[in-house]
Amino acid sequence: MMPLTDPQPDFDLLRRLREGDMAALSALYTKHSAPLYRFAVLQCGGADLAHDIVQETFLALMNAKGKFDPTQGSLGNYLFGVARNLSRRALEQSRRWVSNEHEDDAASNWADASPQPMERLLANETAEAVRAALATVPPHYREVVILYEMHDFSYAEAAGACGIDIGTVRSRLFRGRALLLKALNRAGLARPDTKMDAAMKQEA
Amino acid sequence: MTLKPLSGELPPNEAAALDRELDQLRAATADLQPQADLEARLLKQWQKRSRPGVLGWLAGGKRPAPGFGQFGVPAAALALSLGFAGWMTVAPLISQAPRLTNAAAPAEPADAPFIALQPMERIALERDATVVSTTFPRALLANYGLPVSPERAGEAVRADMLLASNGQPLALRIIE
Repeated sequence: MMPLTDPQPDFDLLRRLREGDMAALSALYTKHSAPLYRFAVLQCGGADLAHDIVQETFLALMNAKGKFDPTQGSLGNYLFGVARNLSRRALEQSRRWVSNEHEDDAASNWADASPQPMERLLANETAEAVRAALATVPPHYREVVILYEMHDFSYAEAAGACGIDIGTVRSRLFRGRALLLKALNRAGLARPDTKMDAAMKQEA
Repeated sequence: MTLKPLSGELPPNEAAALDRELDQLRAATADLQPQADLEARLLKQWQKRSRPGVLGWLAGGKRPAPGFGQFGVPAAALALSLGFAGWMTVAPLISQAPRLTNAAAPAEPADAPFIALQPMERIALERDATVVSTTFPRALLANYGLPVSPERAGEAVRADMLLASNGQPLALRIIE
């Protein structure tokens, strides 16, 4: 789970930011930009787009007029929520995905309408293959998988960032993991351990 | 006895295989950083936009930069009405509606300090707060935990109110 940290330093930095303290913006950027960038890269599949999303997220913070409510959660979760919304908008604008968000299990309703060459982002081949497999998972499953698996968000934190309830997070996570596993298997990865299989069968 | 996976969960061997691959992705992305010049670009934009916040104003006793004069009296009246809507919901016994007085030109700063009606974190984050002078029944003060003598509950109180951009009362300064 996400480490429990004192949110007060963030609140203090945000207050100083609102008062025009440039060092506070710098401190907030240093703390939050890399995780937001990693999220955006995995969610949108492109470094340039991820940069734009990080930039827009901080611009939203700079321009926010009372939208961030410290009683509703941490600043980090708020920023992830903004980045998530920007990512969704960018994906919708790219028209690469046709969504049917209301049918949560209808993965078949998602289709890559105009496949584009995948931008290579990671040097490690296996990791890059995993990233490519993750990119085939529909965005509303993918975002939950990324937040939970890569950023150690709890169900509640992922629910807050995505604007959905905890039960939906849970079902999307299960479904997203299953779809990711299928995609990995198609790429010749994530083969179950045969020894573990044999041991389980023997137990049965 | 075998452990049956919960509905929707992957079988343990498949889950373990998936976790192994996700570990690789975690390790490979751990050092990903945005471009070095992005921070400088943001700081440049911030320099263009920055201005003092509400807390600085509260401490210094000066009015925040954007006032109601910028938007006109109708906007001031709307914000004040929204702010008091909450009060009136909580205190339906109050029959006398608050009366806006000279919203475009709040009273001169008094010696009395502002009393925070919201957490300081909330007040600190408000950039477009505005001060309005208003008159309302003293009984309303009880809703914010301020002492009200029963015999004076019906009297009118003149006060400056610090309102958020959405009309929420943030702080209060009693003039008389």
